[in-house]
Amino acid sequence: MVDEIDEYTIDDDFEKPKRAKAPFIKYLREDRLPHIFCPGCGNGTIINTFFKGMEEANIDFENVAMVSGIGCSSRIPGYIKCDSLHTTHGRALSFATGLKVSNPDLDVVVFTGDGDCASIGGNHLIHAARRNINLTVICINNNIYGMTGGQISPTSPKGSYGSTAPYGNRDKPFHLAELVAAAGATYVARWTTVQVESAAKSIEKGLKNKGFSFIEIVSQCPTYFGRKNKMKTPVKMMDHIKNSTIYINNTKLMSEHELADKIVVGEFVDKSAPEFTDNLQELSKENYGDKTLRRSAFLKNFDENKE
Amino acid sequence: MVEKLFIQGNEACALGAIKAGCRFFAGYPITPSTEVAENLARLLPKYGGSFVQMEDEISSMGAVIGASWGGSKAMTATSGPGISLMQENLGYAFMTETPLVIVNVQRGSPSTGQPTMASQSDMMQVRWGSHGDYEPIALSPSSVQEYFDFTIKAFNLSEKYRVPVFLMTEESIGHMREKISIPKSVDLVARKEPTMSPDEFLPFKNRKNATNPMPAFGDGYKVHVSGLTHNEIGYPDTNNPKTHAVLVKRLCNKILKNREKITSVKSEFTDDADVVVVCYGAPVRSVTTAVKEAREEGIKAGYLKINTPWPFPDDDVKAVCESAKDIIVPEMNLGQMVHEVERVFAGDAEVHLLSKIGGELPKPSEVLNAIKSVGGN
Amino acid sequence: MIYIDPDLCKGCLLCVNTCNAHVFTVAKKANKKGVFLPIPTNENACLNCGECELLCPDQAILIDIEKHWWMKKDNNYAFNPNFSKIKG
Repeated sequence: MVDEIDEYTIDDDFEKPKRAKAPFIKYLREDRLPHIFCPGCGNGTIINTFFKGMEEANIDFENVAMVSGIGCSSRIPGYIKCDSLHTTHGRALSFATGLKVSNPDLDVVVFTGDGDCASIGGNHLIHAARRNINLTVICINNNIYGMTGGQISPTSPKGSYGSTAPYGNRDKPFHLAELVAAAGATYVARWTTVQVESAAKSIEKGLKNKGFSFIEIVSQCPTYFGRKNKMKTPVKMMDHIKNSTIYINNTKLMSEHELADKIVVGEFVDKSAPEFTDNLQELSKENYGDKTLRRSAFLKNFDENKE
Repeated sequence: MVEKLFIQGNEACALGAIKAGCRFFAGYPITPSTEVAENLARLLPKYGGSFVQMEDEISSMGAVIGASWGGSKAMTATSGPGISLMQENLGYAFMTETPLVIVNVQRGSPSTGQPTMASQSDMMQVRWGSHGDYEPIALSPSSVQEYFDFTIKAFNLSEKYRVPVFLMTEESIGHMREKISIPKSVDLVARKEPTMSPDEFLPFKNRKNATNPMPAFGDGYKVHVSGLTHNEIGYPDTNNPKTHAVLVKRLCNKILKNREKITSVKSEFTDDADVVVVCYGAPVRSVTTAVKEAREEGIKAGYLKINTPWPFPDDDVKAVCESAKDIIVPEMNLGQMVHEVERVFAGDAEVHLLSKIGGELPKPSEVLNAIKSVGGN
Repeated sequence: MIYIDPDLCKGCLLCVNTCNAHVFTVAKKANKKGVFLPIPTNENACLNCGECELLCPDQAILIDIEKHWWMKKDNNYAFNPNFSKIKG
């Protein structure tokens, strides 16, 4: 039997010991915390997951640049202490392409959501995957447009409710991991916020992979998706996600009908293929004799003899 | 040493971009600007640059902004319909003060219009096209030599004021072949690096008259660049009316307060002129001939060529045209810059529009007839 | 020691639900912010798996396990070595 405590009191004068900060706070812009995400939102979990994957992959945090579009998930780079571009709706991947080509030494990470990358940015998504450019895309799929107030998204399951689907969604949802795999990405995985360790492992693999890496993380939105679909609390949503998850190796004998309500998790693609910026560097070496110029805007004189 | 070449306008633009230090191009094919992309696809790998053909104009603009923050001088080339698609990300570039150059080889519009014919129908689109208040810089060449020179000037202005710069040319200049001379070396404005430590550095500091230095990604300054209304550190602060007012006013003022330094005009015979032709872009070629012919016939005519339509050179136009009673504005649209000229004169002189659409330049005889009809008696 | 940052916690209670060792209890009364904080009442049962630390969406939990034999005394940061590689 556990003693019950009535109130958890903290003195105002109480000076918190230095080590009382969660392990990944040191990567965050502390002056902006707490972040704007609703209680129980999966985005915060995915921040932790990313850092765990980053540490496991031995990536230098100083070398990480983040790009995001518009939406709840795209607010993440704003809380991380790194160079970050918070761009226009759906266009994050095109900005990231320019940034990566301009400076291929950077580890460019793109945080995006389901509405951002599957709906308005669908074209950019498949073309970035086709080019196999060395980006790590973390797509937080919460099946709904959270920031604008719970409209259904291209990944909302059939029959789910949203503020623009008051009678239930009748459209067939997009399966993003399968889509990106078909478009030519070299690392594709899907996990949920329940399998944080697996997701961190996939992020590690994605960061190490030289090519387009797409990690879709199915997340909970208790405020909008949950409230409209009879799962008001984060815990209930997590239970729902947990119960509808099925591992990819177990799906081989299942029919499409059986899989309709399931979330298939696992690694979809893990291969290697020629990378876009590598090709550009090769071209530069053939024609210019060296890798492409970095930070050319800061140069006052250009070596004209090199031709 | 000066190199003499006989080349096409768009090719001259590509050469100018290389001279100006442009090392990144992202674009999407569109007539009549494609030659800029084609030539840069050939040239950039030889000079350590990167050429990317994107999936559409929206992403071209995105890639150019990304590359600019990555530390490259970047540009794209397109035409009217492409500019329409780019407007969304152009607004982002204005909000985040990203230096870049957009070449707009104008063609007959609206919509798909006349892909292979000239026009000046995007003059207002580049000024007011994206949502919100902002001040762009636009340059308008009237010959292939100027197309080359203004390309370099556009890069210098964009780096100096941290603003997207438009190069507004027409299909006729883009596809025209002329002799140009390419100087051995040109004056370049390099991007200003921050000198203070990352802890003290405010990337979007509210300065009265100067542009903030701009670090590249990976320099360790850890800038958060956001299209949302942001404070001096770069953090979104969307609900504070003061932050928004300070930010947007600064974005406009950094151009408006330096208007005299940015703008340039060229005038001839305007000291005693009764009739002044105020022109820009390709029609300048007809106007110079027509004005000389009018002078030979004894009409006191002059012309003023605007090199920088945006920001509009209010003071220069007014000063040069002081003596004029009639102003003629030849344009290859149904009247866009004429409104700016009317605004400047505000009734002091009568402003006449000589508009010609359909893809042909106004002929010298047409300009001469217009001069005669307003002030020839 | 298990630290919960009352400034950051938003009271989603995912940690209470996820913990296999049932370490946390929900406070009966809300704090100043109106949040029902999780309280590590059953701390001795903690397995140091780090799941709650990783799952916490608000970066509000720290599992400090100085009592274990693998932690050095002079180490300021006392993390589970299986979980994080952060040094000083």
